[in-house]
Amino acid sequence: MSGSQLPAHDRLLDERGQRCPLPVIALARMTTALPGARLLLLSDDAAAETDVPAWCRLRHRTLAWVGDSPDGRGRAYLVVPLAASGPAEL
Amino acid sequence: MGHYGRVVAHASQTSSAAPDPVSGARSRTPGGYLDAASTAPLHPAAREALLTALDDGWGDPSRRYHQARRARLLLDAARESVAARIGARPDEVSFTGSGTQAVGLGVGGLVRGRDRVGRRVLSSAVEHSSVLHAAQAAVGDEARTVAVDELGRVDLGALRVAVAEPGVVLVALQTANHEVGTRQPVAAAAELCAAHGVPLLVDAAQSAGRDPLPEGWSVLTASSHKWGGPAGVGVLAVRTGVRWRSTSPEGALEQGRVPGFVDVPAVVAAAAALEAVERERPRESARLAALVDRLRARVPELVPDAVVLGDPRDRLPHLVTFSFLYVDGEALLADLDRAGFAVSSGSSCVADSLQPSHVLAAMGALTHGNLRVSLPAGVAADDVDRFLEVLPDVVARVRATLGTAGL
Repeated sequence: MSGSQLPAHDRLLDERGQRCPLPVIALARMTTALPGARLLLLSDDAAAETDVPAWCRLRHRTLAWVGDSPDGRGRAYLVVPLAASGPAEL
Repeated sequence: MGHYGRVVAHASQTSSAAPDPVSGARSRTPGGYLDAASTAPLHPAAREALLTALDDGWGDPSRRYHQARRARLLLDAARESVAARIGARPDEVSFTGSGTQAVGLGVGGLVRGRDRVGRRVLSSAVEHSSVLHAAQAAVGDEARTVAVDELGRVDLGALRVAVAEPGVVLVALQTANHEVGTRQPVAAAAELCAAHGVPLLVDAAQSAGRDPLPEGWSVLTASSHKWGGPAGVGVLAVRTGVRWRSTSPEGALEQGRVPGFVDVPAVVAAAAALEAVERERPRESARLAALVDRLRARVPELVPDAVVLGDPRDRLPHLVTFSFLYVDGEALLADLDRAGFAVSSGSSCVADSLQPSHVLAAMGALTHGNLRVSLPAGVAADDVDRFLEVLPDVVARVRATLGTAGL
């Protein structure tokens, strides 16, 4: 689950440089504002690796894709509504 | 190390010398100290034994004059006492300079003792960092971890497969997890290890003096300051017949297992503390387990979006961990410290490394807003109730500064 290309998304959240719990809070805010959107979060916070999947379980979202950021700085997380399915592969 | 950032206990906090309303016992610990899993306050029995032994036990126990014999007698008595309480023979027990040193010597000696078999060391993914670091130092890339479930309990199926591979020189498994309290299936792991002739190192740091210790270990390690003895004393027990070879180039003392001069007065105090806490344990464990049950039940009722971690029943009696969604762990600890409570956190913002706790990560648990409460023996029930009164407002304040209402 990695690649230099990013999957299709409705909104990009570049939270690189932000430490926990701020990237997850940004994700939660955007989810509240745009409940049906496919959100792509970029984060270089080590805690996000665990906290984004944990938050998705708590808030019933699907973590559809995880990979490296194209420029190599941090990771990318595609978070979508529970019913929708993300691209399994790019 | 440093996965568990600490908040220094409030020296200014009023000591709760009031009798405990439940047990009637007077609390020995400063009010609000709820971080016993980091270190326990010195037990009064240890203080008394230490002061006596400083006068009587300073001699070199390996020499042949009367001061030496006095130290030797004290050391032998301490060894017999500790051995009886951990289920070992006295000649199997060595005292080290710390729990971490005991782990390092235990792992290193087992690896060296089996160097013809191979180099693979298996540890659960949630072992204390001292175990993971010792394995890494001893065998590098051959240090492998075995996954755990969401409660933090090692996956026995994965262990069964891993231990059957060739070249495994030891398995390391803690008695119970130091961050979330979940007990590990040591007896079942011991059976798997025995079936393949692989020694099992059991880190009992969080259980000694708190919880019954399991059998089936080849090497057992523990740490005095976790049970109310002084810091600077660890226990390394090596079962008779286990292939263990010293890694110390120096002429080692303590049954040939530990380099350096043994601190006899501290060892005497450690043994006195263990005797005392073991005497009190049946009653005290039940009381602390009930207080932890109260915390586990009440916190999610009082605080929205609180996750209770670890096994609710098969767990250490005195320890519980929570993660609060949208909470900054560092701010949470600082606010609780201001309110007079010393607790710790596995959140990355609290760690020197800025990495989240490897235990929480291995469990897949929310790592931010993490809070570990560990009750010292003799804690006043009133402390737990006051903590429950203060916590909801503290969490709400931290969340308010981050503007997370309605998320």
